[in-house]
Amino acid sequence: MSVLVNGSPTEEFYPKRGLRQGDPLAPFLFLVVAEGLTGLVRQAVKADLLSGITIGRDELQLCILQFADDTVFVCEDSFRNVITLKAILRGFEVASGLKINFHKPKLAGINIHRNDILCYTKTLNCNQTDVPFKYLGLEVGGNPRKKKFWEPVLSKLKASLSVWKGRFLSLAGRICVIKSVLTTVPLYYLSLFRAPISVCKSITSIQRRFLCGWGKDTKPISWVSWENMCKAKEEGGLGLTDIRKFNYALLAKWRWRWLSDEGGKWKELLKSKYGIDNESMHTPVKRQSWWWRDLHRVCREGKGDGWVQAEMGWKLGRGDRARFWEDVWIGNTNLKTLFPRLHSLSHNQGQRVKEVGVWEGSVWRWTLSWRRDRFEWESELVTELTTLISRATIKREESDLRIWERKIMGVSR
Amino acid sequence: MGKEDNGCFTVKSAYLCLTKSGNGNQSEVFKLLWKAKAFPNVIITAWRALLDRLPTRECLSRRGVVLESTLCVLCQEKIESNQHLFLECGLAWRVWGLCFRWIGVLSIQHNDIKSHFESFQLIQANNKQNRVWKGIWAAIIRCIWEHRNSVVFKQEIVDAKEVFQKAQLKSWLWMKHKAQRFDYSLVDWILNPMPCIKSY
Repeated sequence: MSVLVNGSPTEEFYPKRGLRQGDPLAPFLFLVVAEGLTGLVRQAVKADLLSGITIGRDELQLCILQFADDTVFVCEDSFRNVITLKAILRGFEVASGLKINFHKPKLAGINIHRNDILCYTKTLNCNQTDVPFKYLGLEVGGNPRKKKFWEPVLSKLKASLSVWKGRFLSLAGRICVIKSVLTTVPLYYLSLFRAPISVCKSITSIQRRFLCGWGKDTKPISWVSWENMCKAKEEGGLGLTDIRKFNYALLAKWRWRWLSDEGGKWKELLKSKYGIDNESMHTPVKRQSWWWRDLHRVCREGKGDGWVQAEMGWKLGRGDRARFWEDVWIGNTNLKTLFPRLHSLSHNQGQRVKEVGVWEGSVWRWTLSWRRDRFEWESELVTELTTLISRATIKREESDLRIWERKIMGVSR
Repeated sequence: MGKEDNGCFTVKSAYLCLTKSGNGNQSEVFKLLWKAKAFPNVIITAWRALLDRLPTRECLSRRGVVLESTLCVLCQEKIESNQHLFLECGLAWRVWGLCFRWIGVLSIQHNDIKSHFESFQLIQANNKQNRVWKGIWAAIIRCIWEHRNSVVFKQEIVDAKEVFQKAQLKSWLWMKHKAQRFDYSLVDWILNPMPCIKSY
């Protein structure tokens, strides 16, 4: 065995002992093995022995999903696929030395006749399951708008925040427990799904129950309103989390990742399925998943394009992505709201920054164009605008960079 | 907030921008309170006192609890409001007086508990040392409150000196367990508090 260090292989060495549990090398070693399985599947698809499912107009092929030690195969409904799958697994078993426990895998059919599934499970020697099944601790195919979906979260919370446990702690201690429990238990669900209002309410009530020591029928005076407790500590609250807002903040991350430049299978999949480009939130396709719809709803809330959009701005590069009037790229607001009058007169509506000027040698010159001649008071506005935008520096080499919270602006520092 | 300075998204900043919108009235009082050097349960009591959210008799009657009287448990003269109990009542008066004599500063007079807390600082000391001082404030509030409760529920009577000594002990315990390089004994702390705070 030899290891690549900075691209060059080291001297060969012989692995003598196995890895201990919890060894930091273990995941890497596992990945090396798991990659073998993906390779096998890829070969099988290439040889036309296994047909995965195709999604959307870009016909994105998908047949294996792996995350750490969890693997899902998605295949079209045919007996040949099942046979190939079995062959792949067997082959993998032989090649890697790992033993496959055929009782553990589960087979779920989507729109498949029951007899067929029975036949497949017999062939694969595995168990059968139904569509809302668990993958990575989440229900696949469940509906996050139903309360039943959130039942595991609620029961877990109830167990860890039961009233009797709070009896033995001071108020300060209970606050500490709440904070730690809330940031761990429902976090995973909340970072992916929008919790319905009723669920948010029950989570809040579990917390209050714990904090104030409500009994089954007794309800002592709550001395500080929940809203006040949720305020930041500097504002006279306790800094508890408002579960709804926290949920929104977590979901906004998806929007950010969607807009950012990093790639990902999930983005490809969504683009293919809904036929959307990177920028727009608008989805032309009618049938959308709950998840996607909820995500939109969360991000759209608030004025205009929604609160997420309002917090985003551009760090100006060569001006190829930021829109001149509509986006925030200089100062703290977009030019459209600063100069509404001029915006309505402008020819440059919807254009990118780089389209509103030209390079003359090494000097950038703005070329604003208007629908008609300006009145006197309007030309004052134009001078104001030009002095503002002359503060921006346009760089030829860099592309525009999307930024959060508009901390860094196009103004050179 | 650290990281979002480079324009990268953080859930925390998103959460803050959701919660901050509207009334962003940050108050210096609470900032100082949470940084005070005292045990969390002491700080929470002080926090409730500052917000006027402790179940004093006046507070209870305002919320519709039927009481025999709303007069102060300790002096039986005035209505037991937040402000009276912690600042104006004879016992509180004596406790604060002891405290100021202990540290050797002129007493401060404020009718409002928030401004009392704010002006409770040492001019010669730096920020860090003042946090210890604010911690002592919280400890005194806590001890007055504990004392008041023992009077109501256990019918015990203690004098101001003992209340104050408890507060001294509380703040010393904090220093002893939480502060680094603090090796003064309780006697040092009581007899000569200034050098102890200064050394912190």
